[in-house]
Amino acid sequence: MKRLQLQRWSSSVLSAQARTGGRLQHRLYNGIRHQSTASPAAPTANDQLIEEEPLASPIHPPNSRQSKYQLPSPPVEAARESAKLAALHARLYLPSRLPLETLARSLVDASADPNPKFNNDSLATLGHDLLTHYTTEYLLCTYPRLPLTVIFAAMYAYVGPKTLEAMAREWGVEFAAAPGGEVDPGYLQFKRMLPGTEPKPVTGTARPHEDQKHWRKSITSSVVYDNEFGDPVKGPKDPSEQSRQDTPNLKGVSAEQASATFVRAVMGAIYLHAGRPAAKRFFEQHFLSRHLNISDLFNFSQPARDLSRLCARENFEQPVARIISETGRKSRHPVFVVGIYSGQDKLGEGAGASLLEARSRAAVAALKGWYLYSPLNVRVPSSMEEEGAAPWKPVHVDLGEVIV
Amino acid sequence: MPVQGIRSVTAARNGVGAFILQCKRLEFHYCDWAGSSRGMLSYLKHQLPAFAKANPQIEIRVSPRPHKHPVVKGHYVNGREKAICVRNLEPEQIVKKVHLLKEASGEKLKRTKKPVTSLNESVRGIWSPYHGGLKSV
Amino acid sequence: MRPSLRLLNLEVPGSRALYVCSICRQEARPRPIVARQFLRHASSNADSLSERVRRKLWGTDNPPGLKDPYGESLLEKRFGKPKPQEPEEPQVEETNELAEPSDGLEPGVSYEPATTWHGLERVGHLGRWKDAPPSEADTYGSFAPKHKLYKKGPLSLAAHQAAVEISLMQALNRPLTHVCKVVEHDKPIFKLIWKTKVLPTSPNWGESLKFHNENAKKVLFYVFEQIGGTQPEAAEQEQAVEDIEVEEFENFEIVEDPSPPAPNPRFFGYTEPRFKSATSLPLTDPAIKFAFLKRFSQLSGHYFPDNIVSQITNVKHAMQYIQGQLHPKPTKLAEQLENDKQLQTLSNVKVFSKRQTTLHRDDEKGRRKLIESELRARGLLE
Repeated sequence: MKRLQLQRWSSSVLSAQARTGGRLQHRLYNGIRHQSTASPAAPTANDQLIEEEPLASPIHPPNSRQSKYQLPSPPVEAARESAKLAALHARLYLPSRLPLETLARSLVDASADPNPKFNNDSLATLGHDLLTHYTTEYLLCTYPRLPLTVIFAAMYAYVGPKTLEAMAREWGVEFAAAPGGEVDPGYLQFKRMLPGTEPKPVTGTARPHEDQKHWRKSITSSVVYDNEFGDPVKGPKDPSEQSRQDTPNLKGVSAEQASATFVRAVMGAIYLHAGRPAAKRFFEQHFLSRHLNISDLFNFSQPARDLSRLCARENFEQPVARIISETGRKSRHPVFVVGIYSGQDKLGEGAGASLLEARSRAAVAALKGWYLYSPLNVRVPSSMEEEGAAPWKPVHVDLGEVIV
Repeated sequence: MPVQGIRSVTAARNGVGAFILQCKRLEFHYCDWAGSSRGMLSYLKHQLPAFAKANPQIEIRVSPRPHKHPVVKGHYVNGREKAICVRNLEPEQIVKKVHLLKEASGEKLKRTKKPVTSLNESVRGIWSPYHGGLKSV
Repeated sequence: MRPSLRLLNLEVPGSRALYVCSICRQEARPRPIVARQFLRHASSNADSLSERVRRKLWGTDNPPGLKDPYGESLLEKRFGKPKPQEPEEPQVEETNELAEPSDGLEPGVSYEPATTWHGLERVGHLGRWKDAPPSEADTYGSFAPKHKLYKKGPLSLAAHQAAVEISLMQALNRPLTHVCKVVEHDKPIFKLIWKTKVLPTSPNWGESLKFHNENAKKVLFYVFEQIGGTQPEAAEQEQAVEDIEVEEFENFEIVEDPSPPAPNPRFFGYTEPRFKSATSLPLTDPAIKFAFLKRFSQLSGHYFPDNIVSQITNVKHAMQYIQGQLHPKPTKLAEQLENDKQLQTLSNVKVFSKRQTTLHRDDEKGRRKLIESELRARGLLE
């Protein structure tokens, strides 16, 4: 992979008025992947990568009190004076190369300041891609046999909006009541939803026949059409349509969505200013270090059937359930301990109040034992990006879940 | 569908990866005139710069509160706050109080009965009556 | 019966219940005789207590001033015999005031100013003083200059000038404080003073000067010899000095400014002393210290209180005192913290000089504009 010229690009983030429509955004929009966040600045129609936009002229009025009220978000100079922002910077152990101005910018949501030169949308897009990339490779390499639905759930648990909101809260980020120029830049600023508004279901996805609600959606199709968490997303649009759609987002967003955007933007800002190693360290320290028990994410409907299919696929002997021990069969509280055997090998064991329950518990245990296989000393593909990395040995890739 | 995923949220383990200090803001209130603020004024003049430098992750706000006793107020990540009145205290005593506020988690004080609490399962496992050494009646 | 006397009667020896404390008893007693001597009517008595006290105070048998400091009683004034030694002045003055207030006395009447107010009908001006045109005595010339010196350069220049002048006077063995009679020197003299260096080597001020050249020494000695002399003689010699100076001008190649005597800028535009060695001169001799501080405060306009004068031991201390007066330490903690260098570099510290209220917090959070707009919508805020 070609090394990216981060310093050159980060200047566009640092001075918000300069070169925001430059190469970075073109690069981001070339592989158009519109996530749940609203799309920021539209790429210009001509895709000249080298051409830089002339200096835009959103010159801020002087620093008077009246004019501050008219700004949609705090001015750039206010970032240096905010004690809250400096404390947040230190609390997250952010690298010193990440300036306070960028951190302040990552706290401004697109609903607060529709100007893409001052909001965190571009940073959040980058951060979201980085987060999902690192999480996906971690999950796939650590648990190569996980079913796709569980991967979706695990992704949601690691970098889903709910988790990101909890993280923003644990970082001590407070919300501003309403965005504005007079607000301390250390507050997360977004326009709030009116009370009682319900989130509308996403329409305009790339999935064909999306209006057919009763049609079955296969897992494979959601890999293609849906996002990382298996949720529907808006499909890509023509650039000409996007420029019209660039009107300010007047609806407002939920606190969850704004917090998630902020955390993603911080990730993107670290990547831009401090480089890939710092971003990866940040990811490991703040995201991967959180606790998730993946075996709790499974929800089997017919575990015994799945297990017999699995054994058939893997050329094991057909699984047989046998009672290991039991007590009080005629009493009010009988307990059966059932093991599932394939030939001489015990695949799983479960205890239940009835024979069927014990059998299905044993089948679940057997299936989890299969799916939760994790090789030792896992390396992820992105570790090859570091200098002097050992040569790559292919990781174990499994066939995947059983098809019933 | 053979297996469904259940959506959940990862639990924070503060200090396993990064450590976030739970005290996010300290507010120092003093009175310029009153004698009960004498130690506080001296603390703010001499000890506060070193404390602020050692703890950059705490936002520190110093503001007067005329005709009131001096107060140090700590705000925490969990949204709670703790206030300590430091009237007539010497600067050395205020140093201790500020240290207490900084180290606090912000939770209500409660008695801990178990020496260890953990998110992980017990390594030894739970004893089962149905395994090993079964006696047939 | 008066209650106080009743109290006295109640005091029966042996009865504890009816005990009256000594203070109450003292209060209840009839007034002592001594107190009566302070009464007004006793003042006619020559041997009264007040008269004896006055004699003792003044130390003579005929103390000056009124016999009765509280004035004579009205009755005595009206019906008493007219006093033979009634002075004439008040009447004379009154007539004068009526005739011509600005002028002095009528010819023929000898005016003798009263030393005491004894016998004067009233003290002070008789007519409406503020209506009278100002006389020469009414103009007030301040000892200190109109504008104080605030910057460090002019202050040290003033100190240098004062030090050189006092040293010159000391060398000439003339009264030191006479330098204060010349508020401002002429430009050439000042320039000579500016060029003179003060060597703080010897404790004797008279030997501490190092002149620009011999000529300058002669001129300065000549000029300062005149200071404090009799007026006409001085004027005469001033002319002589002028002549010498003109020669000096040619020697120094100074271009004379032919402009009319405009109000000179302070120190003729000089802002810094040429030599700063004057600051280490000691001020141990009380006479020199007094003379120097007097001249310095005349030049700089700053006043030295007595306790500070006793503390000052050299010229530098005096300078430091004025610097401290000009830049006093802030009394409010917020000002001190704002000047704190270390705190300024810390970005996580915010120091407020005013009490932080809910309004400030709302403004910081952006809630204030919501509240205001809602109040406006309900007509509670115009």
